[in-house]
Amino acid sequence: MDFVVQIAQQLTNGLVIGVIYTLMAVGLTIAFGIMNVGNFAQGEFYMLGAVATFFLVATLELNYFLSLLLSGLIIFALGAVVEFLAIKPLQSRGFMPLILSTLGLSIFFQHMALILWGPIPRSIPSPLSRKPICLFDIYITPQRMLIFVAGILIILALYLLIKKTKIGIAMRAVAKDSNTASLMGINIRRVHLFSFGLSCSLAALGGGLIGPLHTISPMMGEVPVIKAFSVVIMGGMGNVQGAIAAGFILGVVESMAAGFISTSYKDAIAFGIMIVVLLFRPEGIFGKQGLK
Amino acid sequence: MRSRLHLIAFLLIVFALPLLIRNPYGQHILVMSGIFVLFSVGLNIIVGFLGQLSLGHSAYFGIGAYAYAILLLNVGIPWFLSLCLAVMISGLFGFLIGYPSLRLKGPYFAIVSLAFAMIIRLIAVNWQSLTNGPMGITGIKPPNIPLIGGRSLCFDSALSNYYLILCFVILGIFVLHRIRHSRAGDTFDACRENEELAQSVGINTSRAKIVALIISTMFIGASGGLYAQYVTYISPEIFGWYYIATPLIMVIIGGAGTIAGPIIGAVIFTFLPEFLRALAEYRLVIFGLIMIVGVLFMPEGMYGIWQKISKVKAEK
Amino acid sequence: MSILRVENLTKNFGGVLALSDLTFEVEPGKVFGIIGPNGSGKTTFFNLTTGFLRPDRGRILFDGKDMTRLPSHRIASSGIVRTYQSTSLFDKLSVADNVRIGTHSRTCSGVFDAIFSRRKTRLDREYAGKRVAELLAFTGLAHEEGERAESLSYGDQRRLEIAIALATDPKLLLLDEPAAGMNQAESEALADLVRELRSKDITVLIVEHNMKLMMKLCDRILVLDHGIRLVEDVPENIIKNPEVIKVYFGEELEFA
Repeated sequence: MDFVVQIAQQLTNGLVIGVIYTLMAVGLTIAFGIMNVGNFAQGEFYMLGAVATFFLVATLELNYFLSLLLSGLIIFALGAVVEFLAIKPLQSRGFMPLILSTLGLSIFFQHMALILWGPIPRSIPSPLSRKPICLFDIYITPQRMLIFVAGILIILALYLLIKKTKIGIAMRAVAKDSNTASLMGINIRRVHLFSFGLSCSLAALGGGLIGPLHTISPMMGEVPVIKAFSVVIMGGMGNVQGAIAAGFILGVVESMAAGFISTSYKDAIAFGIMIVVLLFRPEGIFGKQGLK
Repeated sequence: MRSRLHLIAFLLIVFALPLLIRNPYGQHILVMSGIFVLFSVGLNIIVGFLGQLSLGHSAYFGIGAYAYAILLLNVGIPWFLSLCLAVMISGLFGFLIGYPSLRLKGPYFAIVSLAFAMIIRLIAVNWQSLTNGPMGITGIKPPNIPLIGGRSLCFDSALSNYYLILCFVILGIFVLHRIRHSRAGDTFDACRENEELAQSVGINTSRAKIVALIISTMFIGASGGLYAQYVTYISPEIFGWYYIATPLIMVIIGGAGTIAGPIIGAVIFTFLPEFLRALAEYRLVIFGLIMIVGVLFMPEGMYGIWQKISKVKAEK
Repeated sequence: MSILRVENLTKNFGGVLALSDLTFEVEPGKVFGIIGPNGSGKTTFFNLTTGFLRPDRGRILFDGKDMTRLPSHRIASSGIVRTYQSTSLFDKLSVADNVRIGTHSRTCSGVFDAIFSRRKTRLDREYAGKRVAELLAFTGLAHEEGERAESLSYGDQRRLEIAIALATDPKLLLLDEPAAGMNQAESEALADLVRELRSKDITVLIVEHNMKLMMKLCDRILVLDHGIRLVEDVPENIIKNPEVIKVYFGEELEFA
């Protein structure tokens, strides 16, 4: 009985952390699918989302949920600006300059944040209580529940966006074949700007959600971004559904491994899976199916 | 003939530098730039000659450093032999990691190399009995060469290390120059420009890529070993992003694919942070900006710009 | 003995049968043509012969030796070299460098030799230099020696491709639509080149749509349709063959 409870507990924790991985990874995979860019600064947008939310809550004393949404919008705008300045000019030059540019961005944002934030890690004050709720012998804090629920809501909203709205259809068209899409009158520039902004804001929302739970520091995106890449590769580059599934899977597997085997090597799981998938099934476990 | 004279003049200056810069901190920077020159020149074999982006090269730097330290301190092997073994161990890891991953296309190879580097970093942090974990290894004794007459040559100062590292750098550049202007160098060029065509004319591209990777990782491992020996203390942070991004900046901004490019890049980007000391925390912010701006506006790197300028001058 | 013998070569692409039970032979020193409508399997055949694809069934014998499972670079160094339908060069390298790389399989110094043996490196350099000069003269590209490959005109680029292929000292040269995009004069020059190759005892296998060129050049022609061998004969009989005419009915026959 106790064993089952343990598994359920780890499963729950895993699903929660899975939300964060999924949000970052879906953002990454959208950028991959539509613009063919591997955004190595995604971890920094994650961090900036947390920082922005903190600033709005702690300094401007806005409501947490409002701050979360606002920071998503702020980072969306930031993403669009970055796309215009540092991504668009390099699109024709292949993947290497693009990756280097995003690496440069990553360094820039990290150290900019270090200056503005300082080295002391802090958490976002959250209106939710810190006391864990106990459901069927499983302990879960309200914040974790929020992360899970918010994550599902965001993913649903994203699904609706991609399937039902005009911009969503445009995104899918560009992901499939940008030449044909432009011939059909779709404004590729607008789609790129929107998609990149969206991709960054997803990471930012992840950061804002995790902020009250973990501490925020300028380097907090360093490791999660690699895991997000791992999720993207598992799910298939450009495959949104794959990224969602893989994100939760990674979260759960990590959690199980941390709970039952050892915590120190749990990061290696994401890295190891990434290597194995790339070597044996580079199109991802779920395959490259384009933006779905 | 002119370029020969230029080369000799240049070498003389390089040899005289530490005697001109008597300030011990300045000498320290000279040594560090030497180490990074070796690192960048090695990295350039993969990034410039083969045209493959690597994101995991810090692994070989760290392996070289740790292998040297462990062999020297735990196993008790004399320093020169330790260094040689460290170089070979780096090369071995290059082979082990490269063999499965070199058939992957560009961005995938980059990501896999990063994943390997992160795993190796994790191992360095967690395998405490071997690597002393996050504390790192201290007390790496500088080499001590006994001379005739009871005296000995001890490499414990920046000055002595500078000349030691300079020897390795010159040797490395000589080797690289010979390789570049040879059939092997042609092979790397061919793999980079058009791999399928290279195969069609009989080039075993898989083997060429592995060979390039092994040479590259040996250079990088050597720089790691020399680093360990000079700073006498290493920790798992040498597997981190700073040692991935910085050499990349040096190679790309200096001028990938040439021999002079990474040298220029390494020197500039070792000295630049020091000149920017006054700006303290903004150093790396500027680093990041330079990387972006450099990629945007200097695709051929600084060496490329220099060449263009000399061409224009020559035509006048 | 035939220089190339293809036996029951079959290749399936997930349901699409690109080549089906293809069998034929090529005599050494001849010019052998392969024609057929688009999609008949000609390029697939080239890819199979040069090791870029593996057949599902069948064998390819070169000079009596089984080449079917060898990696592409080994097939190339054994003497089978191809050119590509769309121009394939080492774009950013110079014309001379391009051709020199072609001599790779006829030289042997490796990395160790590059570092330690000045003699071997020098010998290889001399051989390569000689061959490059010869081939550039042969293909009329000597004046372009230092130019980047990508800056050449289309016709010159095609000739460079052939120069690179010849640098490997091939016994069998596979030309994949070499006359594509060429006008009358250029095609004539190409035909002269091919005839000269023949006089050097190089066997040429040529895939083309330009029927006039094929009739003039080839000793024998194989007609492929949807991966199946239709007929193999001398050119005069091919154009009279009713099967061939039926297959090409509605297709654009280039009597350029």
